[in-house]
Parts: sequence; structure tokens; C-alpha cells
Amino acid sequence: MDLFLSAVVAIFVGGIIALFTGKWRGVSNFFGAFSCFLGTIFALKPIYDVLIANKTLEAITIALPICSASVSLDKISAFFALPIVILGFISAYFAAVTVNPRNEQHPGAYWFFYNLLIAGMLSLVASSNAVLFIMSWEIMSVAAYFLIAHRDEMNTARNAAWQFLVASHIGTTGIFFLFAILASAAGGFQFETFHSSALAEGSAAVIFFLALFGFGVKVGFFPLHIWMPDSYTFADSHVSAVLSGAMSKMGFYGLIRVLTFLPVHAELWGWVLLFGGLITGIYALVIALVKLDLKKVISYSSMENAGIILMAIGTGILANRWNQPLIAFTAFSGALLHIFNHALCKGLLFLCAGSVYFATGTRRQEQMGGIGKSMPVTATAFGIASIAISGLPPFNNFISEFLIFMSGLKAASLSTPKSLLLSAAVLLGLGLIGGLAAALFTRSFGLVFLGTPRTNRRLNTKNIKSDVNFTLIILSAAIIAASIFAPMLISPFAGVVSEIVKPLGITYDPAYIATISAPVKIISLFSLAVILITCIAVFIKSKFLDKNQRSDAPTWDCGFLKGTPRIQYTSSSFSEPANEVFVSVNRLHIRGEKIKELFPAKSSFHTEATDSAEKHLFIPAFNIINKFLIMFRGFQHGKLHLYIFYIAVTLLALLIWKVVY
Amino acid sequence: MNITSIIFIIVSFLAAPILPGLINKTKALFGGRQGPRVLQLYYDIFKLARKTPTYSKTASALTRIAPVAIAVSTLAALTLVPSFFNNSAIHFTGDIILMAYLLGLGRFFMVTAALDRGSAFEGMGASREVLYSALAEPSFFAGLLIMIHETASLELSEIFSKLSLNFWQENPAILFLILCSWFVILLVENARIPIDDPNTHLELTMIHEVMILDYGAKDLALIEYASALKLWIYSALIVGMVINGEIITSLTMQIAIFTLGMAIVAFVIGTIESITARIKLVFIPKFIVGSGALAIIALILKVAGN
Repeated sequence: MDLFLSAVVAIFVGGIIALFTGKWRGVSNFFGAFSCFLGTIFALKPIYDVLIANKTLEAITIALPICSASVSLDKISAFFALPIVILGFISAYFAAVTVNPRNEQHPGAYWFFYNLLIAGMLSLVASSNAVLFIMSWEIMSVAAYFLIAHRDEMNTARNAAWQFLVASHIGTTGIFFLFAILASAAGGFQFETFHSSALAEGSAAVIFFLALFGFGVKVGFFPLHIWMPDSYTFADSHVSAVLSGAMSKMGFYGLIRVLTFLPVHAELWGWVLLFGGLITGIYALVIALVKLDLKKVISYSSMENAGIILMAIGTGILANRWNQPLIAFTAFSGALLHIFNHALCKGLLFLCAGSVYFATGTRRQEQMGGIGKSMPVTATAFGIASIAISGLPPFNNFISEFLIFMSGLKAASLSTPKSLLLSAAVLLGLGLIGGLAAALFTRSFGLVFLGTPRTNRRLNTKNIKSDVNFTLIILSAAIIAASIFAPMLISPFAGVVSEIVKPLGITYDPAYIATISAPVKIISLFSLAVILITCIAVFIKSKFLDKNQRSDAPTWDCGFLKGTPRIQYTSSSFSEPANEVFVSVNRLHIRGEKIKELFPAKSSFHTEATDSAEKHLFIPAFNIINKFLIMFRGFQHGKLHLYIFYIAVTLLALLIWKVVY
Repeated sequence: MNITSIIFIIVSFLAAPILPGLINKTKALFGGRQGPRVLQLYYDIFKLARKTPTYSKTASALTRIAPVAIAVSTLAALTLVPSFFNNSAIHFTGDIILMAYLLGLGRFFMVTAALDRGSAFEGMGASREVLYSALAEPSFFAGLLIMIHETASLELSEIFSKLSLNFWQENPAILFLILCSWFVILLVENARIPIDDPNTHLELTMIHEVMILDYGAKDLALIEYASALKLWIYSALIVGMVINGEIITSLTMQIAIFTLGMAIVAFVIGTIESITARIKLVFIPKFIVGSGALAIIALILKVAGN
């Protein structure tokens, strides 16, 4: 535990040194990045000890202003620290080699907030005290706010950061309330006291729904996701990688942590998570298909995966209620594995998007195309990540989705109508989500990296140093390793699962690990075989069979000889059939003139899509709140004597209250 | 892994290109023509395999990798298909998910390779393919769900072998609905009429064919072969669902019935192709969702029956 705390402190202190040495760019860069490397590597050891070596680390008590708080690392914490450490390291490297050396105005502030974010998240997972938890949560949110707002010369980034701040604080109110209820029932802020507290069933439900609201904001639970796409889009890419891969996972951490405090999990919660997750996943993809900004697409896909994970957690809760431990175990394992896999994939996707942005200076998919030829490493990495994120074999996300599928299949073999409903939601829902995700990422991969460039924009590939490619290669290798060695992940993650359900008085049969590892082993072998055979066959084909190939022909143009790059299919045309099917959800608004005359004249076409949740729910709601609050504007007028009068009235009121009661 | 299942894989590997030949023969029969030979696809594949490929200037490495990847993933999916006596070479809990998604991997390569040439047309096919297959996925799993519910087993081969005669007699409607909805999926996934016309000559209306416009020689041979294999896999699933191990107990009978079943599937596809026209592109999503609705009706019947 000492090592973990010193890692947190090292990252934090490194950030402070970077802040004060901001004038000397190199020094600041060195301290910021180096402390991050050091801290994340240090933190790996305790994580390994807890997760794999099954050691228990001694808790450390530290003094806080209100109470003393203890820090400890159990299996759940260690599991959630994993994405933070991996992405914290890789993104710091990416930042050190890209943003900061060249054009960063305030490298000091940049590193300070980056390190604060990482340190905040690490202390969040380690805190076993409500006060420390909320403090870390706030540090994390505020640091993330400053990182998003760092590009404040852009109006869009300012708006996104503001939206993030408002959303995350609305969420935090929920977290405050839920810990207030828990603490008053338990009579203390320590997490251990929460476990033993006797909660009424009603207040347990209130706590659960507050947690779903508070943490749901972070994970992007529909309709609380509206801050997410903009924040991820307008933050720098390596920041988005951390925000999406690690910070949004903190929402799951909070939710799971709160679930361990509650003595029983009601069936209703499971249904809410299951169908909420289903709606989140499908909605995210439908909206993502109308978006044309590469990073926005990736952001919505984060929301989609959050939906899948929530579905799995819901399945787990339901199966526990129905005394189906194997199904619950499979679902929870799938959820955890998916959290881990998604962190790797999303990190890679955002870093790829970042390196594309450096080369093209745009995020608009409509203006890209053919980048793959000049950036082969980025293209390959993005291709691997696209296959993985679409939940296709041979990569890791398929394996975690497979486990979730398996829990749905197992539920189908039960005989109650309820279990059939669960199974239908999981199977049909995941099927549709998988198909649409494949549509989304074939689009992004195909239209950004393949084909010919759609504009004359000059590619600035000199910006992409081999260092950047190094981060992409590392993460791609991690994805491949996580696919081939997936069976080895099951048993450490199973330990986390049993810790989640321990407070419910449920223990899973250790034989379950073997039960779910068996198919996973075969799938991993399939992955290995498919990858190897394809590589060998491609090698043989290119080396021996395609020797006399010609590669100077034009693409088939159907007799239309003067084809320009603009004749290619674009992002919006690619998703047009899908958008038409889902028009009632995405509310795609098309403006343009139809060609009426015989000869084509100048014409225009414009599509516009706003997130319905934002347009029809939050904007009206905030307008109403605004109207209400505007009534109080009269109180704030800048007249000092009236302010003093307010104070006097307040004091008087308090005095009267004291006298009367 | 037993010997019949390995023989099955080898037979499938060799015999898959017969199915399109049978379909074409059926269509020729309806059209009053003599039509191409049943084994025509073999001749085509061998002819193509001898040629050297020509690639577009725009094509990147993906165009060269994709045919191999498509063939490998389809072959990998084949190993999971139940054979005679409903054994499959490799079987495990949830194997059908892997099978469905391996075919999805092939589709991923097909679609992205189509976008690789920067063509004006190939994107059209790609964009339709991804949507239709995404919509077909839920109805595939809906049918599967009912069968799992009935047989309480999670392995494809076990599911098929446990669909007892009793169940067929008691719930013919449910099974018929699943059969219909899976058959529609077969038509969707294999680009057959009324979804897609493999013989069309207008790029604007193609789905599958338009994605492979720029392929020739060995690559086209691989893709044509993989398509035939995919058709074989889906047909074998439908036949496997119908063949009942309780009645037919000898291996020779199983093989005979299986062969007959595959021929019937090919004949039905050919008949549908002969007597129906393609539906308009805008109606295809409704058609696919409609087939999913059949499976969901079957599910409701099942629940109500309980």
C-alpha cells in the first residue's frame, strides 16, 4: 500500500514541479511525464499483488480535516486501477512526444492537470472512506475540466468544458446524497461501516438510483450522456483516451462499489440496468451514425460500450436474484473483462484519431480519405481497433462480449418467462449493437484511411514521429495479447467478481472459473489460428502467387472516365440507408435543394443532427430552470448596503429560529 | 473431434461450390433454358486461380489481404457447423456466437476492402451490406433463443440433436416460423433474390456484387469460393435444424438425407429467385425486420405455450 500511495504522491508532486517549471518547456515536460511513468510503474506492483498474487495490503490511515480516512486496495480497486495505470502511462508518453514539445503554450499547467487527473483517479479507487472518495472524485472532475478547457482559444472547447463541469457536478450531487444516507445509517464515513449497516429496503433503492444517476453521468447512461461526445471530441486526443478509457470507468467503479454496500439487490435494479444499458447502447450507435466527426464517432462508441457493460451488470444482478450463480458469474466476468478490453481499444482509437488530427488538421471524416497509404502504422492500428471495438473475433472485445452473450444464452435455457425476456434483451440487443458498431467502424476506418484523399489538403505526416507510432504499436500489441491470453485474465477477474457479490452473502463455486474458461480457451485458440493462418496465407500469396501482379489500373468507374476523388462514397452517404431506417431516433434534418430542371444547376445539401436527448430534454429543462432562477437575479445588484442588510436579516432569522426551537 | 465431423468438413470444403450451380440449374429449369453446368463454379474458380491479379492504383494492402481473410474466417466458421448426427468438429458452449461473428469478420473485410478502392459504386454495396446484416443479426439470435430454450443446451450440435420429434409434432408453428426467419437471413447474408440479385448488371442496385467489382484472378476466386462456402454454412444450419436424429439413425441415411436437404434448400432458393422479383431497396430493411418479427412471434407463442 505504501508503494501505491507513493505512486500517487509521485505523480502529484511531478505535476506540481512541472507547473512551476513551466517556463522551461523541456524541464516541465520531463518532470510531468517522468513522474507519470514512475508513478504508474510503481502502482503496477501493488495492483499485481492484489489482483494476481492474492495478497491483502494493509490499509493506511491518513488524517483529513473532518475525520481520518483510510486508504486500501482491494481487488475491485486494483482492477479499476489497471486502466488508469495503463492509459495514464501511454497517454503521458503520447503527450510528451506530441503536444508539449512544440506548440504548447502552458506546458506546466497542462502537466499539472494531467498528473492531477491520474493521481485523483488512483486515490479515488484506493479510498475506502466516503469523504476521501468524494474529494478524489472532485479532484478528478475538476482536473478533467481544466484539461478539456485547456484549448480555451476554441469556443467549442470552452462550451464542452462548461457542459462537462455542469454535468459532472449535477452528478456529484447524487453522490453526495447517497453517501449522506449511507453515512447516517452507518454512523461513519468508513466503507467497512457501510457494509455492516442495516439499511431499510426503501433507502437501499434510493441509494441505488442516486448512484445510477451520479455515476451514470460519468459512464454516459442515456440520457445523462450529453456532455460526453463534446468533451471527448474537443479535448486533446490523449486526454480523451484517458477520459474515456479510465475516467468514465470510474463511474462503473462507483456504481459497483455502492452495490457492495447494499445488503440486497432488488430485481427492479437489474431490469433498469439491463434495459437502460440496451437503450444507451442502441441510441449511441444510431446517433453516432449521423455524426461525421471522427472523434465524436469514437466518443459515442464509448457510450455504446457503457451500455453493453451496464447490460451485463444488470444481467448479473437479475441472475443473482434468481439464484442462478453461474449466469451471474458469467455476466459479471463479462462486464469486467469488457471494461478492461474497452479501455485498451478506446485508448488506441483516440490516440489514432489524435495522430490523424496532427497529420490532417481536421476531424471531419468527409474531408479525409486515403490516409492509410502515408500513415500505415496508424491505419493498421486503427483497423485492429475497429475490428476489436465492433466486437468481432479474433480480438479481445469479442471475448468479453461472448461472455455476456453466454450469460444470455444460459438464461434462455431457464424456464421462466422473465428469464426469456432477459435473454431476448441480451441476445437481440447485443446482436443489433454488434452489427451497428461494425457499420460505424467500417465507415470510419474505410473513409478515413482507405480510398483516395477527398481534399487537396496536404498531409503533414512529418508531425507523426516514430514515438507516436510506438504508443499505437504498444496498444495494438496489448489488444492482440488480451485476445490470445484471455483465459489467463479470467481467474484474476473472477476474484474481483467474488468480491463484488461477497456482501450479498453469495460465493461462487471456484469451478465456475473453469466452466467459463473452457470456451474462452477455444476462442483464443481460434483467434490465434485465424491471425496466424491469415498472416501466413497473405505472406505466401504476396511472395509467390502475386508475383506478376499489375497495380496500375484505374478503379472500375462504370464508363465514367473523369472520376475525381469527390466521386467516392462519403461518410454521410455511407450511413444514409441506416439513418433512414432510424430516422425517428436520430431526427436527421436534411436541408437542400432538389434538382428540378433537366440540366443540373448549382445545388446544395446539408444535414444536421442534434442529439435528441440534448435538444428535447436538457435544453428545455435548463430553460425552465433558467426562467425560475432569473427571478432571483434582482437580489444581486451590487449595492453593498443591501448585501449587509441580507446578512442582518439572515442572522436575525437564525436568532429567532434558535429562540423558538 | 470424431471422424464423421472431419469428413464433413472436408466434404463441405470440396462440395460448397455445387450449391450455386444447383441454384442456377433450378433457375434455368424455370426459365426453360439449359443453363450452366452444375459444376460451373469450379471451372470459374480454377480459371480465375490461374490468372494474375490486376489492382487499382488506389488499392492499398487491404485489398490484397481481404480475400485471404474472408476465406480464412469463413473456413474457421465452417469448423463449427454441425455435421451428420449433428456432430461438429469443434463444439463448446456458445459456439454459434463465434460462428456468427467469424462470418461477421469476413464481412468486415469485404466491406472495408470495398471502400479501399475509392470507387463511386463499391461504397453503395458496402453501406447496404452493413445495415442489412446488422438488422438480420437480432432475428438470427431470436430463432436461436427459442431453440436453446426448448433444448436447454448451449452447443449448436447439441441444440440440433435435441430438437426432438415430440417438439416438432407439438410446436410445428414455432419451428416453421424460425425456419422462415432463418431462411430470410440466408437470403440476406448470401445476397440472393429478393434482397439482392447476383446476376444484375446495374451497379447502382447491387449489394454483394458491387463490393467485388475490382477483384479479379486469384482474389476473385477466393471470394467466390468463400461466398459459396457461406451459402453452404447457412444451408447446413437450416438442414441441420430440420434433420432429426431420432428417426434417422444410420449414418448412410443421415448422409443421404443431408445431401437431399442441401439440394432442397438450393432448389427452394432457385425457385424463389425464379418466381419473385427483387424488392425495392427501401423496403429491404422492413423485409428483414419482418423476418425478425416472425421469430419474435414464435418466441411469444413459446412463452404463451408454457
